[in-house]
Amino acid sequence: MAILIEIILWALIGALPGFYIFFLRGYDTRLGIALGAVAGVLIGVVGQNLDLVASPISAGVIIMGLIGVVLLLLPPSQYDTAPSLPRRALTILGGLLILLFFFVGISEIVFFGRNIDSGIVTILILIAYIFVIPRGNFDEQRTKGQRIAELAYALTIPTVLIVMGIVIFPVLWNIVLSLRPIEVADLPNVSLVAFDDITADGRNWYDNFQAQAGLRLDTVPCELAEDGSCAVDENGNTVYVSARRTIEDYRGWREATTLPGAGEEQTVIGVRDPEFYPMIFRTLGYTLASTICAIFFGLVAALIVREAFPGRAIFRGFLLFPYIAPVISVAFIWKILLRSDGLINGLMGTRINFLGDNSLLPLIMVILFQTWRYFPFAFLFLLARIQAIPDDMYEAAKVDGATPINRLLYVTLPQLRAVFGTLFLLRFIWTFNKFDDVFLLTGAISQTKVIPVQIFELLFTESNVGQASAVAVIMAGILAVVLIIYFRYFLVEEE
Amino acid sequence: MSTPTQQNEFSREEFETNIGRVLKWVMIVFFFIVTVFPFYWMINLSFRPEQDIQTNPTKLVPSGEDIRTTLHPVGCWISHGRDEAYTSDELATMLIADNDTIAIMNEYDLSLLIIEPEIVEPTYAVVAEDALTDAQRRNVIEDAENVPEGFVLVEDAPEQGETEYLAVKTDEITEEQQQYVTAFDRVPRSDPRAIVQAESAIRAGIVANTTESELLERTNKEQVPEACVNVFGQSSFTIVLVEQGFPPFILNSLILSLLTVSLTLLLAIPAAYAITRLRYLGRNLMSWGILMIYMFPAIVLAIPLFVVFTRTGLRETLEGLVIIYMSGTLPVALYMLRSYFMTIPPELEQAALIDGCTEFETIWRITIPLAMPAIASVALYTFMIAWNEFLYAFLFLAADTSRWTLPLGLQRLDSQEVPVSALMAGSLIVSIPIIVIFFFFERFLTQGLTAGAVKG
Repeated sequence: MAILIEIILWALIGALPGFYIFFLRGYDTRLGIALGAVAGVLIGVVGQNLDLVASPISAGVIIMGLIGVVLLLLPPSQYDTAPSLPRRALTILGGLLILLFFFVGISEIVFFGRNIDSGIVTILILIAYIFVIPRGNFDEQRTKGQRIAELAYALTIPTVLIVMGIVIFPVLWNIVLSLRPIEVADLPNVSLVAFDDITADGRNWYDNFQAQAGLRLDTVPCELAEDGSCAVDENGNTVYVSARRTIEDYRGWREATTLPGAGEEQTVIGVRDPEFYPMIFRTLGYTLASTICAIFFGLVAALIVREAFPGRAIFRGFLLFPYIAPVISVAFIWKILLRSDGLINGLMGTRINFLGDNSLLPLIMVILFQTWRYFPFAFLFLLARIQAIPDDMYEAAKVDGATPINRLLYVTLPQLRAVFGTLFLLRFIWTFNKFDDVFLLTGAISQTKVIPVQIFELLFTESNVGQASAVAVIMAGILAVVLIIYFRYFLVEEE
Repeated sequence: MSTPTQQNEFSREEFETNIGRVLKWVMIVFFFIVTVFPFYWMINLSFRPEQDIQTNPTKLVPSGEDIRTTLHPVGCWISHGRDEAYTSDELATMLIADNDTIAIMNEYDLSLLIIEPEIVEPTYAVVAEDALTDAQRRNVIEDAENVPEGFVLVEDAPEQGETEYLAVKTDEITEEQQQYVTAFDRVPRSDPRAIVQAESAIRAGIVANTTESELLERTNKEQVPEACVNVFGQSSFTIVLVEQGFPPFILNSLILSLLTVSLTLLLAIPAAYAITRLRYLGRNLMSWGILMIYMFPAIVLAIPLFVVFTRTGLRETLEGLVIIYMSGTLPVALYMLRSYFMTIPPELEQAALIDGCTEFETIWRITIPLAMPAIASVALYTFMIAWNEFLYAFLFLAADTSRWTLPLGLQRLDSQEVPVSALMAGSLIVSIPIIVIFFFFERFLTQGLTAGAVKG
C-alpha cells in the first residue's frame, strides 16, 4: 500500500515536467507523460533508496534534464525541422549539465538555502533550457479539439495542483494521521506513507479517537447493605458502587454522568475527556448564535442602506470596516476595550473581566465579536439582493394597502429567502471552522474552547499530531452531518 | 370626506413611515458608532501615553500635548535614525573612553557600550598587532591558538563565558572573523563596522581601538538635538517601530503579499481563461471542485501541511507560505475572473485567433486588457488575504523572528511588558495599508466581494 502511494506520487512528479516540455515544444504529450512518469518512478523510488535524490524538487529537475536528452534520440520525422548540430550539442550539454548539477544535490542548497534569488535563477535557467530543446511537429498531427484540450490542461494544471495539493491531499492524509500514534517530535523521521504503526504494539486503530471522544456505558451494581439488599443514604436514595473501583479497565476514564433509573443496577456514562462533549456543543451553539446574529444585523444594515440618505456611500464604506480589517488588529482592539480597566468597564463603572470571567461571558463576547466582524458580509449579500427587488412589487403592495411593516414582512423578506439560505450555509461553515478570531480574542481558555482551538492546543501544547488529526476528522464529520441535515430539511432554492 | 376606516388606515401608514424614519436614523447612528468606534479607539489609545490610559480609561480625545509627545520621537527617528540617539548614560560612558577601552556592540539595543577593562573580570580579545595599545601589550598571551595572522590574543575585560558581540571595522575584518559575522543588516548605518560574534573567548573579535574623537565623529553625536536623546521609550510608535523592530516585518509582509498577488494572477488568469473559453473534459468538475476549498477548515489542513513542510524544509520559509496562501486565493481569483470573463464577448478573442495570434498572445493582448477591473479587484483581495492572514504564519514561521510577518510581530506585542498604547499603535500599523486600499477602491472591492463570496 505504502509503496503503491509512493510510486503514484513519483509518477505524478515526473509526469508533470514531461507533459509541459512535450506540450511547449510540440511533441506528443501522451508520450511525455508516460516518459516522465517512468523516469519519475525510477528516479524517485530507486534513487531515494540509493540516497541519491534528496527531494521531489531535485527529482523533478533531474527529470527535466533527462527528458531534454531523450528528445534528441527521437527519429528525425518527429522534428519540425531537423535540429542543427550546434543545437543538438547545446541541448545535450545543457541536459547533462542539469543532470549532473542536480544529481549531486545542489538543488537542495539552491531551493532550500532560503535564498529566493538563486531559486528564481534556477527556475529561469530551467525554463530557458526548455526552449533550447528543438521543436517537434506533433501539432500538425493533432485535431483541433485535442489541441484545445491540451492547452486547457496546460493552463489549469498548476492551479488545480496547488488547490488539490493543499486541500484534497491534506484532508485525505489527515484521516491516515488520525489513526497513527505520532507526536510533533517524531515528524522529521516518521515515514509519511506508512500504515504499519496503526496497530503496532497492541494499539487499536481507534485509539486516538478514543482518547478524545471515548464514551462508554457501564452497569454498576448498588452497594449492598448488611441484609443483602441495596444500601440507601440518609435521603433515601440508593447508593451505587463507584465505576472506577468496580470495573477493571476503567483506568483513564471518568464518570461523566449516570442515567436515571433506580433499581439494583445503575448505568454509568464514562468519558475519557470530560471537556470533550461540552466543547462540541459549545462550538455548535456559538456557531449558530454568531451566524444568526451576523445575518440579522446584516439585514438591518441592508434595510437602512436600501434607500438613499445623505452620506450613504461613506456610511456603506464604514460598515465594511470590521470585515476588511486584519483580524489580529480588531481582536486586539476588542481585547483592550473589554479589559477590566478598559473603556467599557470605565463607562459602566465596573471591573468585569469580560474575556476571562469564569462564566458564559467570554463566550458571549466571542459571539458578539463574530457578529460585529461578519455582519458586513451578510450586509453586502442582502443589499445586493434587496436592490434587485423590482419597485413594482412595492408599488403593488402599496396600492393593496400594505403598510411599511407589511411590505417588509410580505414583500422584502420572502424575496430574500434564498440569500438567507446561502448566507447561513457559508457563514455557518466558516464560523464553525474559525480559529483565529476565538484564539486571538480570548486565548485558549476553557470557557471559549471550540473545536479548532482544541486542535491547535493538541498540536502545539500537547504535541500530539495523531489526536489532533482525530479531532479534526471528528470535526469534519460533525460539519458533514450538520450540512446533510441542512440540505435535507432547510435548503431553500432560488426560484 | 374620508370614512373613518380609511382615516385609520391612512394614519397607520403615516405612523409606520414616521417611526421607520426615526428608527432608521437611530440605526444609522448605532451602526456608525459600532463599526467605527473601535477603530477610533485604537487611534485614540495609540496617541496617548501609557500613564494617561491607566488613569483616564474613558478619555475620549487625546490632547494636543499627547499627540505631540507621541509624534516627536517618530520625527526624531525619521530624521536622525535610531543609532545616533544615545541615552545620556551611554554618552557619559563614551566620554570617559580612552585607548584602553573596548567598544562592544550591545546585542540588545544596538548602541555602543564602553567597558573599562579594570572594573570587570578578565577575558580575552583578539587584537590587530599594529593596533595594540601599551596597556594591552602587557596582557598579550604568547602561546594562543587559533588567532588569525597579524593579530594577538589579549587578556581583557568583560565577563567570561558569555557570547560577546565585539565591534570590528569593516575594512579590518579578516576572513576568519567573517564567519562569525552576524546580523550585518542590524549594524547602525552611521557605523562602518560589522559585528563579530565571538564564539569563544579565543575567537573574540578585535578590540576596537577607538578614541574619543573617533567615537564622537562616528556617531555624529553633535547632530542629534538634546530633545531627541532618550525618547524612544516614550512613544507608542517608536516602541513598535524601533524597540520591537517592526520594519523587517513590514517588509516580509509586503514581499509575501506581493508574491502571492503576482503568482495568483499568473496562474489564475490562464486557468480562468481555460474554464470560460475552452471546452474540455472535466471543465465543470474543475470549476466547481475548486470551490470546495471553502468547506475545509484551515486548522484541519494545517496538520498535514505542517508535517509535509517540516519534512521538505519549506516550513520556515516565506515561499512555503506563498504556496499555502495561493491555495486559498486561487479559488476566489478563479471564481471572480470567471464571472468577469463571461461578460467579455468571445468574438473579440476569436477574431484575434483568426488573425494569427496564439492563445497566449490572445490572453495577453485581448483578455487581460479587457478584464483589467476584475484583475485589479482580484489583486486587491489577494493582497488583503495574504496581508491579514495569521494562522498559517503563526504555525509555520513562529520560530524564526527574521521571517515574521506583521501579524506575528503584533502578536508578540500582546504581553504584559508592552504598553497598551504600543499594542494599539501596532494594530494601527497593520490595519492602515488595508484601510487605505479599501478607501481608494471601495466600489471595486464591494462588487468583487459579492461576486467571489470571499472567504473570511
